[in-house]
Amino acid sequence: MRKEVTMPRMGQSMDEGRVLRWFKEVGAEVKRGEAIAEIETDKAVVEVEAFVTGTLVEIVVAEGELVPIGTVIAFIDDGRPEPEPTPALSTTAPPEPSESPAPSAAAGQEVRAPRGERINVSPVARRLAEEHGIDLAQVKGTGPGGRIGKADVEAYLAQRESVPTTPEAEGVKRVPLSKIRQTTAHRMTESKATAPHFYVSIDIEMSRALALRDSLKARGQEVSINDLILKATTLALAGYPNLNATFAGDELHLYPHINLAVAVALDEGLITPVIHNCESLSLAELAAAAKEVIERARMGRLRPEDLDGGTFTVSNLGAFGVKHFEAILNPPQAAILAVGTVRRVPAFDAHDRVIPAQLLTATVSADHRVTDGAEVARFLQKLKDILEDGFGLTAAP
Amino acid sequence: MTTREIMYREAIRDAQREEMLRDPTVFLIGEDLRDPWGGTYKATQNLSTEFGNERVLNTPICEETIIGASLGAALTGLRPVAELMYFDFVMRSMDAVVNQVAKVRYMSGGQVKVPLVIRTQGGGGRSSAAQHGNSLEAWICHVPGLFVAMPSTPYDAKGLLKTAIRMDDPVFFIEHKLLYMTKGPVPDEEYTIPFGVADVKRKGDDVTIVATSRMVLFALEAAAELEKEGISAEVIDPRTLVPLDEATILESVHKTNRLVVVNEGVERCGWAAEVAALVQKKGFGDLDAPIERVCTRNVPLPFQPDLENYVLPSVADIVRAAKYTLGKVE
Repeated sequence: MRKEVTMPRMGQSMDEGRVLRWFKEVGAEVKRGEAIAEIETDKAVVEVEAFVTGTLVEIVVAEGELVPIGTVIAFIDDGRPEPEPTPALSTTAPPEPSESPAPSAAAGQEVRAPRGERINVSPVARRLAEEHGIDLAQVKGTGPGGRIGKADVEAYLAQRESVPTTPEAEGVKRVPLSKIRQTTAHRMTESKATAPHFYVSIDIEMSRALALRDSLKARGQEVSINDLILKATTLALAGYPNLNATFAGDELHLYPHINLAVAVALDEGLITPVIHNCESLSLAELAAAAKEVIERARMGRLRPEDLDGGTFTVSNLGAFGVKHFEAILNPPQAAILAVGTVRRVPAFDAHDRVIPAQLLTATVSADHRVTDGAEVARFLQKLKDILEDGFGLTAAP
Repeated sequence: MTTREIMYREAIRDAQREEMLRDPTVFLIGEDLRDPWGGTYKATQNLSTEFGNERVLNTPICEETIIGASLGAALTGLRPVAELMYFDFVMRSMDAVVNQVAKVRYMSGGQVKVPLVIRTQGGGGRSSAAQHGNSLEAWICHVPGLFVAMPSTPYDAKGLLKTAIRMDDPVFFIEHKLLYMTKGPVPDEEYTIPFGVADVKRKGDDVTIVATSRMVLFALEAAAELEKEGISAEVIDPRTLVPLDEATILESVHKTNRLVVVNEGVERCGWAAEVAALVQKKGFGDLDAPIERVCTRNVPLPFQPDLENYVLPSVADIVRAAKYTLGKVE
């Protein structure tokens, strides 16, 4: 029987939501409680869970579309037969006594969508929890029948706030979270909590890459170090599809295109616009696309598709002189590359002579459910080879 | 401002006297109002002596006559203050009250006014039994077209009654037989109290108790008991049930998150249910516990004193209900 999946209400202020991503394709099996889509509310990005086990038979609302709450966004078939129409009441033909319950009545019962367990909570406690973004499932109710009251929410709040706050923390300035900050907080917490991260670093000698940049500049073509890294990452990823992927419960989703998300720091927080189909772009095209999307991000002019469909993220703190750092995975992606600054250091050549070297440290954070250390190390080796060699960077895609 | 301690019944008498002095169209009508009797609860004492029998009319024992004659007088431009000796007797005049008094201004398209005050007294606690101790304010509140006042103190009684006599619409002015002898400060100076303005009789933070008439005194006693246990109760007397000061009640519940409504009428379909409905609708997000009602049990009022006390709301009942909203009683 086809059951509706609707745009959920995730908070009092929410009246519409945007489908960011479908985790499942039409025809995919879904389990009750499994995340099937990601939606964006006015405050945060959240997952929509299947409320029934079955097959995703229709996606009504496409990725990127904004719809009012309650709108049907998909249908799941639970494999049960469709209910027969309820027979009309008739005074002339009373239903014959049957040995088993009428099938229509049984099917009618099924129409009620299973709901999450109701939380016993007083109205004011519910309001307070919403105002402070508290998950009521985390609050212990001490009222009659275990009801969560105002005092329980306040106790939870006090406990939550007492952890980072020291007794002498008077004069603390409280700043409400921006939407970006809220989204980052939510997504990064979710990422760290659900994806087992591991980290692998490598040093890359950048002399040739820098020489390439300089010679391109001499010919009037502006290409940044970051553009070279994006190009090298695209080339390296082509051989390592597991790093251009998503962990999806009992299977991996490997993406046919390389859509690089680029971390951009704005005053109000971090945002990761996406350059689509990098594998089909030349270095010059990639540099132009990166420049365009980063500019749109800085001007607050990003289009929904600019935030959509990233498969791998590159985060570069080199401009700040950072030598090395580790990034948190950008869900649902399986890997992220963090690069530091290019630094001039003494090194040994093949004859043990001290020579100047231009080192860059690149660190991949990866989801251990998807890949392992050796594979990530080989990917980094490939990245290193491409950048140190330099020739492949300007080849036509 | 100088004040005197006077009894509730004196406040009622003084209000009528002052309005009779102020306006020659004001007159009193009812059973046994004239001196030397001066009303069954002495609320009209000395007024027939001061103003003469033509302004203090004794009637036969016939409530329909009292209300019918008063309505006629009001329609001609007089301002009658009618007394029904017991609230229970309003039944004898209910057709006049509901079908005529409450509706004639509306049905005449506003061509006539009904400046009529119907004073009466209700309530139990004095072994008055099932036919002389009822609290029927919910019946009256249910009738569109009637204003309803229910003061709990001498100060409120005087100020509200003066306002009622000056109003151009019919007012039911409900007193309580066990409040007549209570005392309270009343200023010597002229004052009136507007309808629709509640009085916070006691400030508190933990639970709001809305109470009417004699139940306000019970609620204040309960609040004192609760204070011994560290519970801070706010006691609100709406003073007029129609119109009702919703804002004061909602503001209080916004602060305390808990509400107990105390009313001497029987619980079923009573006035307390009306307040509970109001607060669950307009203050839903402020509630931390189900709203408690403390009312008279759904039985005829017994004559036997122990049974009567059991059936009527008590201070202990209010204390218990307040603690229940705080989760302190299972």
